Amino acid sequence: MLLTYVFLKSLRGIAGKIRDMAEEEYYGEDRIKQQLLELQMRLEMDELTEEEYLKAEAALMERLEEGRQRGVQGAV
Amino acid sequence: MAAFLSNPKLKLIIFGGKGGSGKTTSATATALHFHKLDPKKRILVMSTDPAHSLGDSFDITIGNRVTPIKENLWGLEIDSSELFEEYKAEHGEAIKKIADRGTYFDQDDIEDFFNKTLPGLDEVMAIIRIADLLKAGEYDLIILDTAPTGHTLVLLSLPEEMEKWIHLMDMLMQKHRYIMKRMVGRYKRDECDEFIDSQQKDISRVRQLLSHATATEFVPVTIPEPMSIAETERAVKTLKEHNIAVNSIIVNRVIEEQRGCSFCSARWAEKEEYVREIEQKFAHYNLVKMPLFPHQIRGESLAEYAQVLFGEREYTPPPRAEVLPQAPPLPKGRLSDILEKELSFLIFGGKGGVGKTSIAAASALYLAQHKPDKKVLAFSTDPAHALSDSLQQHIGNQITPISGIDNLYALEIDGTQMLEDFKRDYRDDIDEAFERFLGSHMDIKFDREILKELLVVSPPGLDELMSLQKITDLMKEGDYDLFALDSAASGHLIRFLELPHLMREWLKSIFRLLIKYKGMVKLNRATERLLSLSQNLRKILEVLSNPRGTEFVMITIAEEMGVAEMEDLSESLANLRIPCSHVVINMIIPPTDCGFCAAKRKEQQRYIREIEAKLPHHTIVPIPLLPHDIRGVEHLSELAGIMYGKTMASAKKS
Repeated sequence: MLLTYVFLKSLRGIAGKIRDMAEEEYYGEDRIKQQLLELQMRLEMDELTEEEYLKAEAALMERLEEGRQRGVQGAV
Repeated sequence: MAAFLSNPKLKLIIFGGKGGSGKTTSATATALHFHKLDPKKRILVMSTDPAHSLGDSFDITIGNRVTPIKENLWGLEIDSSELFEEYKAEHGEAIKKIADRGTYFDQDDIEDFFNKTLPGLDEVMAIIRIADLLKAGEYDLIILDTAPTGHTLVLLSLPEEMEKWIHLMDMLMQKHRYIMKRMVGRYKRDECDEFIDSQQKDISRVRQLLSHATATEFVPVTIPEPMSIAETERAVKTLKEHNIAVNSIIVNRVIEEQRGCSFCSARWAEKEEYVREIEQKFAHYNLVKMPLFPHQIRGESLAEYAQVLFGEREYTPPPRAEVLPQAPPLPKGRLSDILEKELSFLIFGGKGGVGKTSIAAASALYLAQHKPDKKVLAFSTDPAHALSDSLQQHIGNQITPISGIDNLYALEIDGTQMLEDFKRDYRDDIDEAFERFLGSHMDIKFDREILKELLVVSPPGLDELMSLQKITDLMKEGDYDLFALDSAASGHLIRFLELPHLMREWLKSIFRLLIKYKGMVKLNRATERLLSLSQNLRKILEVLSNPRGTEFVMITIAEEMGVAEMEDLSESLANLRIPCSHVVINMIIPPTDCGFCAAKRKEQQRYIREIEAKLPHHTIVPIPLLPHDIRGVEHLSELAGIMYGKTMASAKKS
């Protein structure tokens, strides 16, 4: 019983860590900044139109804000 | 002191000096002289100026192939782009292989970079061509006609720089050699090692010849004008540092006193002072004084110039010739429509020595006074700056307010200094960007050394890139409403104007790589700076091709070489889509009744008609030769009055 409890708690701990990491990967400010730079580079390379760039930039900004609201580490 | 170029051991003679001082004429006349002395001597005259005029001087077509002029006398005007393609075809495989072995880039990356044009290619290819010619040993004497001083000094210091590049290539190979030794136990030399060795030998041969005290001589060509004297002083000092021999200096266009002509007398009196200054400043050199001829020196008249240059005959001034009927006065104010436009960029360009700086400074001064609510920045990108001299105020690499005019500022961009600052600033950024890359067990000692070395080597042209970046930064900051550019002579000006396109292409390739290797290279401040540069370049390109924002004023003189260079410039501007609707024809001899002026004026009229016929849609702006130098606000105002039709005072009131 105790073993099952410890096992489940550890599993929850691991799942939580994975979620945190995934959230950080998705919402983390550093990560979003990197993606923003990539977007800007693609715009300069004429791979994106100004319109496509603005749309993608807005989506990233929205995600950054969402991350801040969720209190994701690295997004505050 | 030995007579002018009398050393029989000479293998290389280099003519250099400010634009318009007579380098080409002196080089071609020297070639004819040595050919006459010894018709069996194999002589090559080669031009390294992107704006070539050898062919115009000999009055034949030359170009990028060794072209016979006479038996045992050849001419060559190098085309760096064509030579670069040939070089890539010959050595491309070896270079790509070295890059493949020594860097983490894959073959697609290398191919992409390999197809890009490099800034500063003119100087690099000139050295490689000279190296090839020396290696082949086909000529007993090579005579170089060079670009204006600033770029020539870059050219002469290049072999030393290029040895560093070769060292870098060798370092890239070191890594491969090390790995091969560890894997196979031994290393077998291949075509890449051969390539590095041969390049090393070739460049070293050029370097040794340049600093050879008896085989090489540099002949500065100067004229009795303050800017030319200052440029010669700088050149002589730099040549000394590079151990390049200078024994004689040609003092060209020395005016003979023309009795009875008040215009000639006024010019003579002023020039005589400068001749005395030259005599004082260069007392240790053999000064070869050449007179100002009443006609241009090219084709058949080269022989006459050569005879006077080598002391075979005295120059005799023309007799009092037929007197031209009084010509109507030159029209004024032909540039005045520029005042009505809301320009942000005004560029002044043309052949060396046509008066770009005076016209740019006078225009900036006039525009600042005419538009008191606008902030005007006059700036120069020519490595041999002349704005300080023109405005009679020290300027330098800092934006300097011009005294007496609240809204006028000036800047002489020092690209070399900025490049050094750039390297210092970026050192940390680059370290940080590669931290992740190097930390991932791929770091072996060679990589760190290669990265360090990369910061040391700098291809020529990077300084111009720095100047361009400075301009983009200033435009972005938006502190100035109008930029008036006093540019380098037309050959290098075209390169400069092409630079934003070229850089954008390079940046696209760099971005492609950064995205491709984003897992290994962290996108950081360096990336942000590159992005900012790319965005600014895009803006500059938009401004440059906008007829409402930019105006290029072409400046020329009524001579064959001036007209030819103007045509090339006009074609390049059209290709770059830079708006140009005015041509200034400077230094037109005013009507006088002396034979010398009459002969010169008659010759000029022919070229003025030619320019009018060739550019029928441009506004022609004739400017007379003034009897005095144009320096300081008073003289610049006089010049501006001719161009814009109003005096400064009335401009201020309006």
